[in-house]
Amino acid sequence: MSMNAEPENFDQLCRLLKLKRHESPPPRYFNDFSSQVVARIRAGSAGGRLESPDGVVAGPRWLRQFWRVIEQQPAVSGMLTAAACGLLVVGVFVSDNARPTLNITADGMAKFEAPVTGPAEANRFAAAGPTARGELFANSTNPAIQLRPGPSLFSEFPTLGAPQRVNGMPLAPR
Amino acid sequence: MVRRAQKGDLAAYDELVRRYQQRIYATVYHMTSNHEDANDLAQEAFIKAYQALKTFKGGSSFYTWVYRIAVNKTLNFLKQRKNRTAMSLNDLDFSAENDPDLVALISEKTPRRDAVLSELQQKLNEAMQQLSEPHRLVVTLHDVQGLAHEEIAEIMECNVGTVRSRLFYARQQLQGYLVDYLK
Repeated sequence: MSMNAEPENFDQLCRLLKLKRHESPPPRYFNDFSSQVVARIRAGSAGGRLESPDGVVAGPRWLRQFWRVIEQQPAVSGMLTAAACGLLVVGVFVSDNARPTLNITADGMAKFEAPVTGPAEANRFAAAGPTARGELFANSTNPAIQLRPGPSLFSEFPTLGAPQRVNGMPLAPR
Repeated sequence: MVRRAQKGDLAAYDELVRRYQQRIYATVYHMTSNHEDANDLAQEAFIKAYQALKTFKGGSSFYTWVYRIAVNKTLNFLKQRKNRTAMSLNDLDFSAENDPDLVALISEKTPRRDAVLSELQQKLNEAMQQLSEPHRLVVTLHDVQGLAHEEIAEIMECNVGTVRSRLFYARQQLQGYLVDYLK
């Protein structure tokens, strides 16, 4: 078959192929294309990965694609932000419930008591020893706060008795 | 500007990238039918071109030289890609519906012309992906981007006769794949 036998046969196909000229990337896609290239060149010459001046990440491929999705789809970034806020709230709530309470015993020892969340767990903790119950008596191998009763400040100084002089002047006898 | 870029002037190179970015991106995109791959490969082609800029002697135009780098990078990528990844097509711009050549292909009475065009776009890209890489490249450069046979021969480093024959057989194959849409 000759290559130029019926060139007009491809007219329809060539028209259809024009459709591909209308496939265009998202709006403003080329605005920062060259700056991304230059940023990656700079990052390469610096031996590391840097950010371009306009904040476009010049890191690994997955990160750039992730960043692009966030940039082009505000709904996705909104959902991610909402999810992060939700996680933060849940985290605060959970940590608030799980916070051990600090009790000072009569002998001045500090005791941390872990919260007990249910009756079954309460029985289990009651059957276990004080450490398992969360009563953390501090010692040298247990890095917990230890509040041993220290000597009184008054006992560190000798008893001086009643003051004899004030500002170098003898006190007037009563 | 090329000389300034060769001396390490990144501002000059930035200007060169701006000048050719759309054409390079489009070539890679039409070869891969994937926007993300096209973005990465086009950027990497420009980076590689900058790194090799000192070896550019000016025997051909800078444009042809960058094109060759992008094409080689894309062909290597397509060879390494074992499984064909899903297409990630760009949207058609609004002027597609009013393109007289495309209007002639689809009935003007079609109520959802944009839907018909989207289907055509999908089928056309699927058919393009059926072609071998050299044949797809010739169709892309000639029929989509409008380059002359001689320019394509220079980019592909082959003679013009090879370009013509590849174009002919690629068109024949495409016509076979798209016979239902070319009545």
